[in-house]
Amino acid sequence: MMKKKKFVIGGLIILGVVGYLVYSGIRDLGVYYFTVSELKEKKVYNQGVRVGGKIAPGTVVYDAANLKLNFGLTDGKEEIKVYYKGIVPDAFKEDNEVLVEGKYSADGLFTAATLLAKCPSKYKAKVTAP
Amino acid sequence: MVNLGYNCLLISFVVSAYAAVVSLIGQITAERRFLASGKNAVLSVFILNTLASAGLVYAFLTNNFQIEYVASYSSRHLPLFYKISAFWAGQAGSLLFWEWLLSFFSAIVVLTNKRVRNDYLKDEFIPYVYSILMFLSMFFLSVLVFTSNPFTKLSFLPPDGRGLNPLLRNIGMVFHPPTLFLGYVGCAIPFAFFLAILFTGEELDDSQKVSWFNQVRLWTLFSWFFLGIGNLLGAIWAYVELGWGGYWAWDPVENASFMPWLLSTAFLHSLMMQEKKEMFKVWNYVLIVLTFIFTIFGTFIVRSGVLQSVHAFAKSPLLGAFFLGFIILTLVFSLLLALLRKNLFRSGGQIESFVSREASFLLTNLIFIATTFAILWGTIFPLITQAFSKQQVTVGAGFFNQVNLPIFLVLLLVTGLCPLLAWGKTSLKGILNNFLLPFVLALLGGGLLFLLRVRSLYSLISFFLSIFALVSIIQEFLRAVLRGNFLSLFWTNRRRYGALIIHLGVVSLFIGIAGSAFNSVKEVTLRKGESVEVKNYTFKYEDFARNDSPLAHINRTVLGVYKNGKKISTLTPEKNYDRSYEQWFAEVAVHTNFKEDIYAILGGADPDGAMAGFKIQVNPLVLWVWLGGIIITLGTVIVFAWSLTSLVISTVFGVIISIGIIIIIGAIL
Repeated sequence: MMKKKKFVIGGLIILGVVGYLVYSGIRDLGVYYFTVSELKEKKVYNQGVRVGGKIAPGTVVYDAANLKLNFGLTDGKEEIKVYYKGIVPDAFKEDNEVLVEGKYSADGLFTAATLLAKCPSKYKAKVTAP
Repeated sequence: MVNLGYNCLLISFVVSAYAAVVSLIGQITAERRFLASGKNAVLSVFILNTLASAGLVYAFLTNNFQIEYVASYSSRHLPLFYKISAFWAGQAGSLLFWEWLLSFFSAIVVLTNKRVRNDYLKDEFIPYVYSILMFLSMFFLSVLVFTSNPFTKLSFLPPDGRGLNPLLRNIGMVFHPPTLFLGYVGCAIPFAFFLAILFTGEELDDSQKVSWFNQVRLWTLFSWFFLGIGNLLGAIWAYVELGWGGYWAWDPVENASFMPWLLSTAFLHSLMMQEKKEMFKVWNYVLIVLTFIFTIFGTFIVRSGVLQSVHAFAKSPLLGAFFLGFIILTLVFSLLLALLRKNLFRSGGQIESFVSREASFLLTNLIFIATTFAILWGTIFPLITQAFSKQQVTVGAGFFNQVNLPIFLVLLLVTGLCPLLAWGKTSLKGILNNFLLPFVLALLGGGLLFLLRVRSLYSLISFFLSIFALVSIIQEFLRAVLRGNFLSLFWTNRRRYGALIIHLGVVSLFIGIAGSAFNSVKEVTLRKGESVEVKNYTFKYEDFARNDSPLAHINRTVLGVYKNGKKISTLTPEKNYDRSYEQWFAEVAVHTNFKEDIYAILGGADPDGAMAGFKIQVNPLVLWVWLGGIIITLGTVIVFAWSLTSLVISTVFGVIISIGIIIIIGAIL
């Protein structure tokens, strides 16, 4: 029986360590997720956040050679301007959904450090009547 | 053909229901005619599903764009190869493929359990297995019929389909989804076997027990292997096609397919404890139920849209509800059944010593489960926080790396340690005998790395542990060789040596993953003729070509790679535009060897190519990850060989898979 007890203690230690790793990981690396409207309404400035929305049609300006991207991110109601420097993912395309991580500033510009485009909208093209 | 397909699914649903009920009743009432009828019904379900699937393949081959699914994923000029793989490009087709595999595996179970019995056995478990599998089949068929019918027709006939998304036109698309599905669906079989003995309510007699264990073990090994290889093929695909410079992003969808693998790894290990020592019975039951549920859970979070994922598959709340309901039902049912049959979970022994195979298996198991729940927690954390505070908090790749790295290091340690610990109790002499040399060599290696000015603690530990595991496994092989008559020794102990080879593959995988800590990445804009240095290479933007066709336009750049003034390679990253999909897709360029990958992505260029933006990376040791996959395949083939025939069969499969991996990597060289 003593042995069983020891194994239980061992198991609890493992769980405790992993629990602590998870806890500290979330404490250090968790970021709030907002929709565009929430971000605007709550005025979350200069704090690392993740925002999801759609790429507003007609707003994409990409200086491909210099890898500078500007576009409007919308949730259907509100829109914010986003700036991102880097390689634009293949699935980045007007009206597709994207996730951006970065900081929003009081002047209304969201500077994204990462840009995740959802894999091509449903991996599927819409079939339209001719 | 279209109507045939749909009707087959409807009939198949009815026959599944019949098979499920008649097998159950047949066993309970000891009516042999019912049992025979149940078997035939299981085989009929397979035939009906095969007809339905053939109907869909036929529709793809004959360009029947009246069917919405075909019109959405295929087009007239799509190569044959992709017309067939478009079968599983979307949701409805994937589910049909899933159901087809389930009925195929069920049919195999029927055909491999043909033992003729003259007398009815009260503890016969096989009819219950059929019954459970057919209940599962009913679930998938009802999903197909009610929410995701692949045979739905359009109200008009489009002149051409929309074609397959350019990102899916990769050989990875042909291999990755079906491989993963083999793993997912395969997990249903051991799950059914476990539930089945609880249905019987009796201890199995010895011959029954052997048959039960052999089948559970082989099916588990089978699905474990394909879950792992499926993930690895997905990683290769992401690396060569999606063009973001890595192969694993800890996206919810990736996590969802990684978690069942972790759980089934734990299960595979502790199953051995039950086989050899009659221990860990409750534990194994919990593990297999969870493994099975996690194979479904992945589909649930992907399709229901409850989580933000980069892999945005078509969202279908109804389908999500179906899957959630099914998960809850399975959980509740498994729990109740276990409570009802508590008497079957008596343990046959207990752990004698801390320094034993048993204890280290228990430890490994705990770590696997802890990792799974850490990953699960991170994956569903947005939902949890939303439920409690109405504000989602998300975690990204950084979180998963930080949490899992220390856990994986411990796993790496036990990878080398476990197989060499004795059952029961290991003596101090045994420990010294097995681990002294690996320990000393690992210490020397780590010291050497330290002298070479590597100061990162994690890297030093990873390197130390990798050498430790590598040497202790190789030492074990060398000993067998020195004992003489290696081949016969190897064949007699093939489960053990196969497992050691798998562990070797895991170490190789780990070495490759550890290398990613040293990736060098640079994003630059270059004028034609300009160069940039990344690590100790010089990349020169040498040429640009533009090519327009009605299907796509191609922007192709040429980068010369120089080292010490000498040209060692030419990379040609492309950024192309698919006209039918109105979408950009990059073609990554990679130059690979065992030391490092030189990897270039083209971000875009001026119309005349005077200036272009690149992302250039030097990724150390990536090839070791893929090599690990091939070694694991080899080891699995050996473990799988319960006879010479099966050795031949599994070797053929192993070779095909290895060639597949090599082709996918080779396609980019």
